[in-house]
Order: sequence, then C-alpha cells, then structure tokens
Amino acid sequence: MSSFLILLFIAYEFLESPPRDFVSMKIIDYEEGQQGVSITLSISNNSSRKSEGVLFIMLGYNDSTVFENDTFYGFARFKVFNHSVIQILPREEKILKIGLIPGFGVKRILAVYCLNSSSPYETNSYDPIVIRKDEVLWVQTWIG
Amino acid sequence: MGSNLDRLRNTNTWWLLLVFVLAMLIRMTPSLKYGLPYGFDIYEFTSRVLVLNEGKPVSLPHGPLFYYAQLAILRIFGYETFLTILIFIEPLVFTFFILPPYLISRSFKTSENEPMYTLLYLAVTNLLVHQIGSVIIPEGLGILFFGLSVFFARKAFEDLRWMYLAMVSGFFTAMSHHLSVFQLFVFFTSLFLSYLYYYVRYLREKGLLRLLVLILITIIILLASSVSIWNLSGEDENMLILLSNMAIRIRLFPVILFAGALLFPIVTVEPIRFLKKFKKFTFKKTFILMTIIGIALPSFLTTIFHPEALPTILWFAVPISLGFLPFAIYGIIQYCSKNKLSDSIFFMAPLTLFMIEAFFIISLENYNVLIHRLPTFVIYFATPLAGYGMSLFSKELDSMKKEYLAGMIIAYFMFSLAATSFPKPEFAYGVKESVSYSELKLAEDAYTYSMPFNAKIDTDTRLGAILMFTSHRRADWMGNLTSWFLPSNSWLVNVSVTGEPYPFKNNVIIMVSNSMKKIYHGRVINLIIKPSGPLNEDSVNYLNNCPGVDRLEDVQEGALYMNHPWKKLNRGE
Repeated sequence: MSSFLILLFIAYEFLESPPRDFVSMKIIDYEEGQQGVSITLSISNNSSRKSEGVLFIMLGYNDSTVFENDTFYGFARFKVFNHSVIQILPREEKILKIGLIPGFGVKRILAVYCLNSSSPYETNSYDPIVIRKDEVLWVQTWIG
Repeated sequence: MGSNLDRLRNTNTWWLLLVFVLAMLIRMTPSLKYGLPYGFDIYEFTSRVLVLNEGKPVSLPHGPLFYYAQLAILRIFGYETFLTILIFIEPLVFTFFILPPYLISRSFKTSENEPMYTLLYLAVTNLLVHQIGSVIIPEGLGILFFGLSVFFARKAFEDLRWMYLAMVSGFFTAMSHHLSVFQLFVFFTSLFLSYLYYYVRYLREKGLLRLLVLILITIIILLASSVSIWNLSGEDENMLILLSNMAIRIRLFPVILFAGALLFPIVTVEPIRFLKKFKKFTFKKTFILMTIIGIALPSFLTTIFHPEALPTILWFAVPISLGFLPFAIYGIIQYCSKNKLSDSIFFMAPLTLFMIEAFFIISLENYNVLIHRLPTFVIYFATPLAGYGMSLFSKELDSMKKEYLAGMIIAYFMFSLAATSFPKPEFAYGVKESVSYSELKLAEDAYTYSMPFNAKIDTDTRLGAILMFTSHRRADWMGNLTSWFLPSNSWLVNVSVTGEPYPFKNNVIIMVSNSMKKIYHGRVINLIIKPSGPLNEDSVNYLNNCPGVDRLEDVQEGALYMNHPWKKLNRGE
C-alpha cells in the first residue's frame, strides 16, 4: 500500500515536469546617431521544434508602462512601430538588425517577441496589450 | 524444498529489496523530472571542482573529500559524462548512504525488532530523501561517515577494536562536511560524559574504561582534523570563526559549558532508570502527546515569532509529527525499558544532547535559523528507534481488522513523509530548489555581457551558484554572498529587505529570476543567517519602468537589467 501510494506520488511529479525547451531574446548591440537608432537583437531557439512568432517593435512615451502579474505582461500606452513574423529553426540563433527613427517624445523602444504567431494582436494602438507570460519575451532600451 | 524459516527469509529479502528500490526511485525523481542536478548548491560546489580541474587554487568550505571525489570522476570520464553521472548515477550511489542506521537496527538484540521498518523510514522520510540522494552535496557524504562512525562505535561495545574503525570513519567525516563532523563530535562527547558517569556511579569495569579512553582519543582526532580542515577554507567561510563568533556572543559560555558537562550525564542516565519502571507508557499516549508537542507547539511558537515560516513548519512538521515522531519516542521508551542501562545510554545520551544543542541554537540571536540543519541528523540517528517502535506497534495488533486499519494509516503516513520531500517555494521559505535550462543560459549570458564592460553581476545565492558554475568562478558576483560575515552590498538583497527600490550603479548587471519574485512565492536567497525577502511589485516595476534601466535579455524564467550607459561602454566611449 505504501509502495503503491509512493509510486503514485512519483508519477504525479513526472506529470508536473517543466518544459526543457525555451526561447530567449537579447540585445547585442545598440547605436544611436543622427540617422536614428539601430538595435541588434538575437533570438535563440533552444528547443528541438521550429519556433514561429511575431516580433513587435513598440515605442514608449512618457506615460508608457509595463506591468506584470503571475500570468500576464501588460504593455500600456505603447505604440506599435512595426511587426513581422519570425521563424527560427531548432537550435538556431537569429540576429536581427532593426533601424528606426524615433519621433518626438519617444523615451524607450521595446522589442516584444510573441511565441504564438496566430494570436490576434492589435497594431497601431495605444491600448494596453496584455499577453500571457509563457507566450512572450521582451527587451527594452531607453533613448538618449 | 527449503524450510519455512528459509521461505520467510527469502520473502524478507524481497521486501527489503523493494523498499531499497523505492528509496532509489524517490531520490531519482528530481533528476529525471528536471534533467539537471537538483538543488542549487551543487552548482556552487561543482564550480569549485571545475576550478580545481583547471589546476587553480580554490577554497573548499566543507573539507576536500567530496570535491576531490567529483574531480576524479571529471578527470576520468570527461565533462559530459561527469555531468551525466552527477545527475543520474550519484543519486543512486548516495541512496546507499542511508544504510548505516539500518545496520544499527539489525544489531538490536530485541526479538520484536523488524529492521525492514527502519529501512522503510530511511527510504521515505522527507528530510532524509532530500538531503541524502536527491541533492548531491557534501552533507550526504558527511552523513554516511557520521552513520558509519555511530555504527562502529556501537559495535565497539562488543569488541573494542571496532573503535579504531570509528576513528577512521570520524576522520573521513571531518574530511567531508563541517556540520556532520560537528554533530559527530556532539555524539561522541555525549557518549563520553554519560558513560564516564555510568562508570563512576554504577560499573567500574576495565573494558568500559578502555572504551572511554578510545572515545576520548576519537574526540581529540575529530577536533584536530576538523580544526585543520576548517582552517583550509576561505576566511569568509571558516566554520571555526563562525563557532567562535557564536560563542563570544554568550558571555557565560564557559560556565554553561562546564555546568552542562557536569549536569548532562545525570539528566541523561537517571531518567533511563526511571523509564525502566514506567512501562504503562502505551503507544496511544505517546501518539497523542507527540501530536501535541510536534504540531501544536511549533505551530504556536512559529505563529508568534516567525509567522512567515508557518507553511514551511507545517509542511515538514505534520508528516514527521504523525508518521515518525510517535514511533521514535515509543521506540526509545520501550528500548530503554527492555534493555540494559548501558545499552540504552548509547541512544538516550546523544538524543538528549542533540535536543540541548537545538534549544541552545534557537536561543542564539542571528544564528537561530541554523536550527533547520539539525533535524536531518537527529532523524537519521533516531531512525532505528522509530523502526523499533513501528515493529512493536505492528506486533501489538491483535486482530485482522486492527492490522488492516493500522496498515492503511501507516501507508498514508509513509506517503505523506515521501510526498513532502520536494517542497515548492511557498512551503520552503520561498526557496525554489530546482534549476531550469533557461536560468543556466541567463547566467552564461550575464557573464558574457559582464566581460566587455568589466561589470559586476548582482544576483542572489541561488542564481549566483549557477553563475559561478557557468563562469568557472570567474564572474564578479556582487554581494559577497558566499561570506558568512561581511554585510551584503547587493541591490537585490537590500531591496528585498526594505521593499523600496533605489538607483543602482552603472557597472552592475542585475540578474533577476522569477524565483525571487513575491508573485511566485519566491525569495531573493541570501545566506541563511542573513536577512532577505522577496522582490515585491514596486521593485519589479522599478526595473521594468525606471528611465535608463535597460532590459538586456529575457529567457522567460528570468531577465538581465543594466543601466543605460552600457551602450556607451559598448562603443568604447
């Protein structure tokens, strides 16, 4: 009886196993000049499956805020500058160079990579964008 | 055709084998679940092995045996196989370290004893599952030699020559782990004082006197080897300085020590004589009493003094207080009442001194949190008595109905003991023990980022251990978190304590993990004797929204932050 219950416990532990695969994103270079701003991003797919997601470049003004709870990230009062679908093969690291000319009042630039490319995200919107934490990666840099 | 006795022996062997396989399976669970070594300490220890492998000097805070054993495996098999052995083979090897108390149980001369129950307790009791095999740490090795020393010391009562093996095993305990050898020192001191009193008061026998001399020599060997090995470790991690600091805080320490040495044998030996006359102490009474003492009292005291620790106390106290403690106490009482006084002292004296030590540590301001390190040793030592208590309990059942009901209840006790072996952060004082692949990547990248900027990395003890591992201890880990004595200069630690974020320096990378955040019931882990807390919402908001604080990397489980000037540094300005 003890053995049976303990074996059940072990089985339950295995059911709770966390995923070993993950995707990461980082800023590897940044340049700021009269022609604008250039950010180099690296997105790594550390898994055995192809990753297809949407990369949003968002501009934050004075009142922009990022908030989080245990499940979601919220990006409030950001303007989506552009977005594109990115495919990354298993174990591949993709380097992306993004150039932009930030308009007046832009304080920060966010790169948000949504792992689920089919999610309906509104673009060109100042509304809060709320995304599940397990479906998103984001990095940011401040201007000036 | 074998006899009935042979068949019974065969059945017992199969049961023992089943229980031991169960012990192995439970200890393998975290490795198979995460695919990485369980617990974050091992990363810090392995980082020192990697430095040794490079032929560079590094301090070894626990004694060198564990580190050099790992180094030998690394040199023989290479890095990849070394990691595989560390994750999947060593938990199996460490499972064998539970055997000394089982051997002690086998040496009991009482016919009612069933050593299999002792093995069952050793296999499933949460603290023993966790500390011996699930996490691969020097304490596991130390506890093996601690147990062997106790076993050899017990055998020495039959033949004095076993004491020489106890000396050798004691030396290896000192070579393995600081706390294990300290507990062994406490064990032999309790034996020496109690048997000296017994010799003077009850039995002036030459054999006992010789044994006392050998025990004294063992204590001297333990002291000498401990002092020399503790002094080899770095100044910030020297256990001798820690103990001296603790002693200096108590002005009356020498008086307490002297008075204790005089009074201790009396309070140990005389109650055993009392227990011999007190045979009415049934299991029912023991169970009710232990439930009150083991659950109600700790819960009440924790609620008053450390309410934040209540979930942790309940997580461990309830299964132990219901499933282990009543059987252990019942076993002690019955063992003392059915065996010779000289035999009973062997268990009662160390257990009494362990309890005195526990109360002493609790009374020490700043060090009372160290109390959590003692239960593993006390439970490990008391397991043969708990097994004995369980044997008597099962033998006293006089009907099939009672046996069935008791079997169900005991099965549930054993399940609850095993199922509490790997607590989640909310039940482990905010400590997340498992490590993820993404956190390894985060630590690697933090080190890579830090090199061109000559930056320090500010993180907690948990991620710091991983940082040390991935960087082979080359990273400039801020906060002096490995030091027992220096105050922390870590932004994360300070903010976690005050809850109020403040600007951090430019040449610092802040490495944050979800395991530090309050929303995940986490904690910024600091050394256990130092203050820390969780990263609250304000602190996380500060990192995410403070102008100038860049978020350099996101791995989902964690992120890197650095002040804006890193970009100028990057361009060599």
